[in-house]
Amino acid sequence: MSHAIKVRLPNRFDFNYHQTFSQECNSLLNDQACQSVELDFSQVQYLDSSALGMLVLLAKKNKGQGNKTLIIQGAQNTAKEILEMANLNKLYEFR
Amino acid sequence: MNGADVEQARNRATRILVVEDDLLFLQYYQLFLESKECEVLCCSSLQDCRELLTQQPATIDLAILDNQLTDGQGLTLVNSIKSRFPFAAILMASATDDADFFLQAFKAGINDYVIKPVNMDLLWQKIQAMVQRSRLEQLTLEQSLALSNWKQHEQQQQHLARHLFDVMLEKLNQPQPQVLACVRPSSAFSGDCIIQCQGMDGSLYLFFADATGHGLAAAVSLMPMLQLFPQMAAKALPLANIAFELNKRLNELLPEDRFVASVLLRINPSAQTLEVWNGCMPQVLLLDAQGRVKERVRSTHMALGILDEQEFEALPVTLALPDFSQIIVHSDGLTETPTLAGQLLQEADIIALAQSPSHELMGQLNALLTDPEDDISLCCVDLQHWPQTADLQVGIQQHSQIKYQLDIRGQALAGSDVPGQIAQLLSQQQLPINLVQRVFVLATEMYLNALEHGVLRLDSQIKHQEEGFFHYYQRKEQGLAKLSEQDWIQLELLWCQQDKSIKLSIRDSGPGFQVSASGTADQPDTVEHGRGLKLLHKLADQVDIVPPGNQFVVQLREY
Repeated sequence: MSHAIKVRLPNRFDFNYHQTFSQECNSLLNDQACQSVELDFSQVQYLDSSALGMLVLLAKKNKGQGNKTLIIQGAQNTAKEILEMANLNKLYEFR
Repeated sequence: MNGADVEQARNRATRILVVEDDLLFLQYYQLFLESKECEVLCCSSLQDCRELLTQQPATIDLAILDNQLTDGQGLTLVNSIKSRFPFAAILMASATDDADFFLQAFKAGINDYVIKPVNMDLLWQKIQAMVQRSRLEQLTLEQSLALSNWKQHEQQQQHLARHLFDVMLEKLNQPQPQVLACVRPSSAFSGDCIIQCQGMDGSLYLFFADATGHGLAAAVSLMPMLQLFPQMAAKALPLANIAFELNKRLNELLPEDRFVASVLLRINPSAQTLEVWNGCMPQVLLLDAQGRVKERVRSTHMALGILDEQEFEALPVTLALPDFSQIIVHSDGLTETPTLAGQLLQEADIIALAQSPSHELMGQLNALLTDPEDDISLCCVDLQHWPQTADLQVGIQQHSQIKYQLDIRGQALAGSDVPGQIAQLLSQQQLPINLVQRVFVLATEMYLNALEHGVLRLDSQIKHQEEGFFHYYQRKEQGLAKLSEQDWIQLELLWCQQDKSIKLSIRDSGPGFQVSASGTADQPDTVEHGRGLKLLHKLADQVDIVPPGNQFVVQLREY
């Protein structure tokens, strides 16, 4: 069954969120039933460079082991600008 | 009187006063009544009885009066007994069966009579019936008194709650000339509510809510949001953030069977966008310049206060503002209340209603619809007559400046949320959220760079390895634990509204670093770290690194 799983990101997506984020994403990548991962940015107001690092790392891991569709959803304002600036649209589908 | 008192009164022994001058007969009464488990008070004369009454005995249920007493007529006691014990029944015992006398006695207030010689079984039947009736009367009166007290108390409380609710709403709601809003409650309280607020970027925010049920219970469900919504709207936060927070707040505060169907609107003239979030409300109608429905935003979300944070969908529908001339939002009460002609309102009727002048709308609704069982509300926003964005610069005073200097040393470096502080300082000045976010990101990058690479001298390359983030984090924790007064970060923030400029400088106690080693621009985008400097260049108008590389200065101009 095709299966999209949503991960809601917090208001401040920075280094402090790293542990939660990587745990959640690692288990998703290992989940066979899951075909796409949607990162919900609708609540993210603050995002720093280590968050960008985590996103790149996730995309890299996905290439190696999961090959799922990665989606960034609902990014707004500065968060969106930063994601675009980092060219993450090469790794993620923006919605 | 509460339930326990009533029960106690019902179970207490029947208390009977007997006034009889024949002492033998008096004793006979007493023995008989006591055999029926009554308590008996005996008096042999008028005077005897009057003395007893002045001694304030416990309440009596019934008095048996002989009329021919040695010192006068028993009938003369009726008034004093009734005034002392209003619920006591009075039974007149008389040797004559003169109808005129009994007529007079009934007028004086007796409840029944027996003729001497008294048949004791008949007497007992009468006593039981009369006591039962008098106790019921007493109970009824006491209950109706309690009820009327309760009602009065309740009305006072409702009045207070209503006052509080109205004052809160009036204080928080900022009616806009382009918005026509009308709420017709089905009772003293409305579970429908429309709040309008202006964001500091000139956006109009509108919150249209219909809480489960109606009356006080529904109005109370709205209370948690009355303050939260305007606070968030004033900061010009994205609608998704507002919907998310409102849902979270309601989830925390409301019982599970209560929720709030809502429409959230943001009209943003500077971005020329219109955002609509519809959770469980009738469709929002968007009309074009010719007054035709061009778009319907149906409910695609659940009402606020149901889903937990993980399941809640906060994303609104975003539309282009110039495409529309009017927005119409209404509650289900409007389409579910029959008109006086027995019809239900159709979309065309609602569009016609929304064209009424604001002072006539309530009258039109009253003339059109029967008495509602549900609250009814209708709101219409005119998008054609919108003020120019230039008029909308709100809040910020031209002559405002902040110079903020900070020197943090030792362990304090570990526990301080410096970027958060700076963002808070600027957002309190009502600067646009976009700008505050930019400064926050700049401050975060600079502060973390100063702390991690300057003070702690950590190497970003660690992050590159498998599990690298984890090791990096571990080393950071170890480093933070060893901080001393020789380790410091100095920060200076300069904000000048007149020049529209912000300058942020952060210097650390580290040895500095070579710029070329960290890379400025041309790094491949697939590297997980080293984006910090690139971010600074992207977000700031000017970035300077002061030799030997332990100080960064960024500037924003003409924001």
